[in-house]
Amino acid sequence: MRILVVDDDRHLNGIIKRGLTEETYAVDTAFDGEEAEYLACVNSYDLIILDIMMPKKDGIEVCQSLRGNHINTPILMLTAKDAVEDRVRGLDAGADDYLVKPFAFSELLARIRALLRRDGTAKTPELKVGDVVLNTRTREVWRGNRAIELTTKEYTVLEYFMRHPNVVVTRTMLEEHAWDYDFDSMSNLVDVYIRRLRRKIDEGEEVSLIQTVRGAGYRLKIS
Amino acid sequence: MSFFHSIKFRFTIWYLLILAILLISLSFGVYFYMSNTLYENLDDSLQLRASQLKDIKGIFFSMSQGEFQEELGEVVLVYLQTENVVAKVPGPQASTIEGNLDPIVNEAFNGENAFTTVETESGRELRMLAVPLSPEGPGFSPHLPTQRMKFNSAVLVIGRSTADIAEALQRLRQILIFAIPLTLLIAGAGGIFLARRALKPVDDIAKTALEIENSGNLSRRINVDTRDELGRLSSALNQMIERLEKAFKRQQEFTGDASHELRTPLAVIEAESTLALEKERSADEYRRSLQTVVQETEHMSGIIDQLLTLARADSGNEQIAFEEIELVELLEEVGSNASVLCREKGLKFELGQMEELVVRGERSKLKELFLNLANNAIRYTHRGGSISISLRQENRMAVVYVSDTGIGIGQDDLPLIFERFYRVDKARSRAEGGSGLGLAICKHIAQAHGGRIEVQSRIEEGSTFSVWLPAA
Repeated sequence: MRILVVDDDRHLNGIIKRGLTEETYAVDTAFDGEEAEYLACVNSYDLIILDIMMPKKDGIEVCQSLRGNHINTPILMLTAKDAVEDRVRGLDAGADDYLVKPFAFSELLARIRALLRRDGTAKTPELKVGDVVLNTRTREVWRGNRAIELTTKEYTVLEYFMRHPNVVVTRTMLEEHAWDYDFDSMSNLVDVYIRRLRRKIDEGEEVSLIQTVRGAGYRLKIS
Repeated sequence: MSFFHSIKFRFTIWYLLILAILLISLSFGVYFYMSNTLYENLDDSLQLRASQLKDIKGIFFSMSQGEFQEELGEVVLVYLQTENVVAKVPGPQASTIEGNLDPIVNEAFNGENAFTTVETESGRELRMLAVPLSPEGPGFSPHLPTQRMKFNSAVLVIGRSTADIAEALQRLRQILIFAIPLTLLIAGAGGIFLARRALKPVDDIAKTALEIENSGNLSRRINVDTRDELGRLSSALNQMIERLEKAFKRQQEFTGDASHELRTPLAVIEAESTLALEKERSADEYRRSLQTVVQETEHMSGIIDQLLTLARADSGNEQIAFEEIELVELLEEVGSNASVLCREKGLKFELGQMEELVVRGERSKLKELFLNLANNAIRYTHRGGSISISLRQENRMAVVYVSDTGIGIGQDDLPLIFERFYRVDKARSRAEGGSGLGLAICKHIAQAHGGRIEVQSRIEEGSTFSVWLPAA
């Protein structure tokens, strides 16, 4: 899952990026409204964390402009403004949720998880495809009764598959949603991670879940 | 607001009271003048009639024979005196007179015309005139043959009814009694109408003020566009409301800014510490988290100190311990602090021209002022730039110039940089430790010392702040 963090305070922005990266998210950062709008338009994020009080363009304007451009990425407003009318203004501008500074990091994470599962049908932190279970809260992965140890990036890639079961996932989609903008798309990193995932998930199992769709990409098949 | 407590009401009441007094006095005047004139006319007509009658030949004869015919409503009598005996020869209508005519008759015998008013049996009022008659006049001729007596003198008494006058006066009274209240009524209604018209702007002002009071909406204005006193009052009030609105808005912005400025470091602290506590970390990671916490705490307590300084300034009971201060000495001290920071950042620092000047003020506050300006200059000047401080006297003022060759300030931002929490580039300034309050404090310190602070700046060329203090 790839997240854009927009906050003009470099310290806070840095901490959020560090914390989210630790939680396996791919994170890009922006420090003002214009930069945020540009990044959100050229990349496809799974979530945007948006501060309101920013130089150049404030969060409300960015939010309205993104929604006006039919970019429907979930937006979590993050701001020091806590008056009811501010929150109403934020939500009415098209934000999906609102978190007032200061906040506990665990709450930020919980709200991100809630926003990310809003698209899908699952209303629990557990994603389930076939006999594979992925807990987005504890980040534990099981196949049947077997616990699977994954690295951060492997987990991110698997989570993307689990959120899009039975759909052809292209390399570009994986690059866009599992890696941040420092990723060099000329590398074959995606294939490397797919190989590792296959080894950990499918090796020794009767049914191989991760399938290659020739010329297109991969698919997580529901058995 | 009840009608009886309104200016309209009092205004109208006073107006009516004065009008009533005037009308009543005027009516009395008219009435008495009328009455006098009418009675005088009556008296004149009696005298005229009397002289006519005097000249009628043989009037005594015809009266004594009962042949004399009085005019309508007229009474005529003749008194004759022989020795001390007075004989009365009444006309046909004279029998009904009840009043005593003797006084005027006696006066007439003494040669004077005399008037009196008497009543008849039926209650009619008669105005009587007695005039002396000369026995040699035409009235006596031809002399009565049967009563050839020796007259000493004779008096003709003639009376006329005052009924017409009484009736006219009665009518006048009726008219006045009816007309005065009617006039007052109409004048009262007109007065209320005029007062209401004249005072409508006052009602509008009160209404608008009440609406502002109820809704708290200071963007409302009083809509009175006359050029009179009330128009001027309204525009004065509108200006006041506008000032209030601006002050209120500034206050709100300030509160919002303060909350943002304080919450941001707090957010960093909470995010950093809760993130660190998410799981087991290495000692290095904990150290880094704690460093962030310390850094943000310092930043925050800096903001709080500055806010308190400004709050004390606002409360107006800040005391300045005035003493004589050698500015050169103070600026050299500031300069030595600044030059250290300049060296770290790779900037050139110089103390320019310095005139020996003394000002009165509090040393620590002035030092804070100049240090703030120097730090700002250093903060916004790129490596390789230069900072200078100089001191000159201009028109009994000591002027301290703090110049830099930094990024400069845009013309749009210049008037605003002394506002609290105003920052030209928020992200940049916060990253470099600015709170957005420094210049507001500088301005306050300069003003508290009876001086002022000015700035001149060009983008990418640098800024010069000048602090003007009264020279001691």
